[in-house]
Amino acid sequence: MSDPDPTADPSRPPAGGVPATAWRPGTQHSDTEAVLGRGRVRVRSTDPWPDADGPAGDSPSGGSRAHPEEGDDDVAHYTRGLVRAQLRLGLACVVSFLAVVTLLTVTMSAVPALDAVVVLGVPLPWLVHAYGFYPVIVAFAVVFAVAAARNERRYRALAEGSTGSSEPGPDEAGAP
Amino acid sequence: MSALPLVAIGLLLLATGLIGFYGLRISRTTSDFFVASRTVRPVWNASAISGEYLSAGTFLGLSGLVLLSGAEAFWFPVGYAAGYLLVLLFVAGPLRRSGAYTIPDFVHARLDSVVARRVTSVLVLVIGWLYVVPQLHGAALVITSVAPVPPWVGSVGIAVVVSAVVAAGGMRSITFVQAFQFWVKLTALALPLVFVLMALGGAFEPGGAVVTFDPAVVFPHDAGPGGLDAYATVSLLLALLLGTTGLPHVLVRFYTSPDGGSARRTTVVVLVMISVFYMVSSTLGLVARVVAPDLAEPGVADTVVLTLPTRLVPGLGGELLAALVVAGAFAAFLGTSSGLVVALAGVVSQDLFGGTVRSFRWSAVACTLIPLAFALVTIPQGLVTSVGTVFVFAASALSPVILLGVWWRRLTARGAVAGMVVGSVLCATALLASSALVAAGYGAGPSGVTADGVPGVVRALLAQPAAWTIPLATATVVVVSLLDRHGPPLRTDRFLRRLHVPERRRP
Repeated sequence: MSDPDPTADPSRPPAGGVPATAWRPGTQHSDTEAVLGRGRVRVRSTDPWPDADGPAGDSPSGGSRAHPEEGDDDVAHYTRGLVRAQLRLGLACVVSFLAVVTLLTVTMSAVPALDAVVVLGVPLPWLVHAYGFYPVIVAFAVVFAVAAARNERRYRALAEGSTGSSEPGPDEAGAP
Repeated sequence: MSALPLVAIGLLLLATGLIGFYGLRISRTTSDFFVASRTVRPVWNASAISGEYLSAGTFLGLSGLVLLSGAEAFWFPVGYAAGYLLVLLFVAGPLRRSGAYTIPDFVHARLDSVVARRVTSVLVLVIGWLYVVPQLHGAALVITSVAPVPPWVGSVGIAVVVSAVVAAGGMRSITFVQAFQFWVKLTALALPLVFVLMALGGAFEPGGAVVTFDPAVVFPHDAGPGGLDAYATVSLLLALLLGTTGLPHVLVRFYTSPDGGSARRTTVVVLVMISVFYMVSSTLGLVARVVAPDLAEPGVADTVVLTLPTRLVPGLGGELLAALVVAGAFAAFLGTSSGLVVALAGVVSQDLFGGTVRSFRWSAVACTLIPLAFALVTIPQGLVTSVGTVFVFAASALSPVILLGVWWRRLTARGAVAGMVVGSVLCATALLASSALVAAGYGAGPSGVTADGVPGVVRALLAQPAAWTIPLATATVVVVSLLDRHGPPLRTDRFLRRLHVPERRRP
């Protein structure tokens, strides 16, 4: 990844050096999920966002605070960086995937000599067409999943570092 | 005709009913019904997603089309799998984090527009119904080949079981049912394949006589990759790649993962599972070309998988394997239809009735009856191409809006509605015009350039419209959004942050 690394900025406050703020990564999720995640099922209206706050239904510590605190600008900056990094990763994967597919397709369809190569009674181009694309697809899937998780880990480290976490909530116990 | 296939169907239905009933006992809340409470583990969830994705199209239709028209059939499973890759790359994590239950929920939340939501709901219903129809056609085809009954018995039987299971248990029981059905489907093709390959190798012949054939006759160059039509291939692949993103039952599945990261990991497992299944199914298609060239006729070819075991494996063994294939086929019809009906019933009950459990149940019944009526009055086409057509429509109508909704902050409700209308109308017109031309005897291929005044180019463009309908729909979304003086909704940035920011870690 070639995106600029904001941790390089020396003026940034050290992790934990700022009092805990309301913003924590992930707190924008509805409380229903927090409850569900712990094995208890809470009944609620199936209209996912009944409140006037709208679909993004933030919990109280979400985006619409009256007093934005220090660290918000940094987090917004990191968030934009994360979105760009994930989009760039997805586009890079899809472009290189299409390149591999095109190469494979042209090879199997435009090289007549391959027809003469017969494996277990089946000409090689047929075998390539029947089996050759799936390993490519799975390989790209694995590469993407690993890289996307790495982007998120990096974001999380930056965001937690800039907002501070001297009073971790119960949800964050055990988080590094 | 042997009674074994009917016994196999009976056992499958019994198992489905038992697992569905087990699900009923643990589904108590509304959110259980819709999204299995988002606590389904990745392997279970991946089995269920795969079980739902592998439909009659790839269970029966793939080998049928390989037999009928050669290697071009392989593009369908390759495209379905690659479509899942695109889902992983661009929407799996973000959509899971959106917190929405259905695609219309997502569009509503993203664009803050009831009109956009309604248009999306209509398209989701059309796509879902179109997708259920080939499953019911497949059931009709299989039932007539194993029992002396009229075709409608199969379609009605599947419709009754699906609406009963969905209405009884919602998404939670469906998750278990579909996970079970994935393994039934895979076993039902893989086990017979092992025996069929042993038979080809001479295992069941006295003296071990290997089946011999001329590769150049069975796998001719023109029917292989060497004979591919560039425009049709590119257009079809574009549709299959993007179409998966617009399928209602695929997206709703991510809401059953606990978080965005696990939604991604689940998708990787799904890709492995469906790839293995497609390779097995493709192998049966290759075997079919060797063993059953006499079945290479439209309408009959899709039954070839059912006949391979009895042709090659002698005695009771062959009949048992054939019965297993029939059970697997029914698992395919049930798995896909029930997943679709869950997704559609969720949309109908939320949009029309406020989303109660009771309305979900009635919606499930309604969402099965409508495609059933359609299936009963239409004539089955090739199963894999019917399913492919649904992908073309989904890719033109919904995928551009979903993808831009996740990644482009300037998207507005007017842009989305305009794009959905343009994409769906163009695509539907092209497909209807194309089938009218085929019905009138013009043929759909690019050959015979000016047969009866309709140039081959036009016919090719109409038969595979994705290459021009998707770009036009996308361009419409972008242009109308940019011209929209209202601009994107105020909450856009906050909503997008929610889509892309990882969840807090769980202790």
